[in-house]
Amino acid sequence: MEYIAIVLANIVAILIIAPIIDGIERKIKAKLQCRKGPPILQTWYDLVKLFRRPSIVTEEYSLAYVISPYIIFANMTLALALVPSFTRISLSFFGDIIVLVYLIASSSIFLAIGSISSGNVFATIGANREISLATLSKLLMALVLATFATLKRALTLGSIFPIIPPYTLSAIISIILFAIIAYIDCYKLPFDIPEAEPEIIDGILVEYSGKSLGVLKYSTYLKRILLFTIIVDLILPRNIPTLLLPISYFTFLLALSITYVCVETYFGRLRIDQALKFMKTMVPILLVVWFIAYLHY
Amino acid sequence: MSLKLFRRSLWVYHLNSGSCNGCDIEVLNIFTPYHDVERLGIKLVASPRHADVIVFTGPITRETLPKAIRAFFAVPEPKAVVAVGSCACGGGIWYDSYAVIGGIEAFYRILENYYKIRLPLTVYVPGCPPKPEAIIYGIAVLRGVLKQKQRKTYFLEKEVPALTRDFIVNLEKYMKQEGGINIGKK
Repeated sequence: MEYIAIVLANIVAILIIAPIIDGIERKIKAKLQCRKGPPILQTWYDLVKLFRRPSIVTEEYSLAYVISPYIIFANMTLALALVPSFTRISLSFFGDIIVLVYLIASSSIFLAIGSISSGNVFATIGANREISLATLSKLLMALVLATFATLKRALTLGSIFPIIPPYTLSAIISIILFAIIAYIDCYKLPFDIPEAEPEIIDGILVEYSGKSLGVLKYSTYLKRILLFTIIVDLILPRNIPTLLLPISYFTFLLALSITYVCVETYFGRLRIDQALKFMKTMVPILLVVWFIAYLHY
Repeated sequence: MSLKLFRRSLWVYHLNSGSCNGCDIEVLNIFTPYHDVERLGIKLVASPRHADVIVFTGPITRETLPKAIRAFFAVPEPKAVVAVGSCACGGGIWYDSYAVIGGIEAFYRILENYYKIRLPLTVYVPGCPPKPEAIIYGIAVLRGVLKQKQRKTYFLEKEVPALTRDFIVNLEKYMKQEGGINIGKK
């Protein structure tokens, strides 16, 4: 009973801080562009406003269009329960690393299906791009997580984290590669191709409004926090005392998001074929790293 | 009357219904680092479904009328409208052109007659083009932060002179003297 309460408290804490982290990112981005920037709670204000507004549906919509935001949100919340964040305790069972990959992949698929069902042309273009990016980025994600599993010879996330104490070559390279893949999966600027704002007017999100848009935006922030949490778990040492753990986790999270946003500010958007080419070059590297990990180097 | 929902966050959809791009530049101007309305929680969105407020620029032409109506109904309730520029407020210099329906008032007349809807809260920002500061002021009025500046004033000419032949000749003489047309012709 206590175990479930701790996991739930963890999820609630992350649900509260996810928009705040985004607000901090917006503030830093504004400072880098010589602007004053919105207040840190601005993302929360936006979300609350969106939740208080009704959602309009299109003329030729289907069920997938209406329910897919909520499925994505549920997927992300469940994935957050799987990874240890503020405490070491999480929902853990044999093979949860595979479930994690499936949850992240299915959220992309549901996003694409939902936006195709809206019947908008721009949404279809966005969904097309989303699928072509997701097929490669989720393959990369699966390969990296397989490398971690091979390094530790385990299939539970609890026994994989942290990866670093044996300072092997493959561990360090795979952490760097995972950071790059997480960046691609966050829809940060060079890779925000499915929801390119001026180009295909928000792409996959174009027909969503009000509550469903709020839920989709919220799940995007949750996805970012999820990927950051995995990176933090990979490098956070195990011998940190339990009371200091939430503070150190939050500092690492903040440091990561600040690094990512500083990278984001200095980039323009890539074309879809450039992004795909970039990811295709990563596949052979990852396969080699996986083999090195198998040899215990 | 103002909308409390948008006090902290307001997403703007910019609808160009046949403008000369003067007002569009000024609307984009308020999102630049100098004015930076993101600090007030205002964001420019690309899709009308995400928007809270439609910013109309330019008179509504015959060509854009059906599209403007579709965009208007794509915005979820409660919504508001900001009419930026003289043309959007009342047709501007195109008020009687055959290609133009008119300003936002004419648009509302069509919506009232054919769709029977309650009209949204509307803020008028006149000017050709209005300053970015004026647009920000208009949005502040919409949010209920600032008071409306304009009072009702009207000007009437007391006596309209009859347009006789003598009057026109006298007027031409007067204009030649005052306008300096004959300078250097002595």
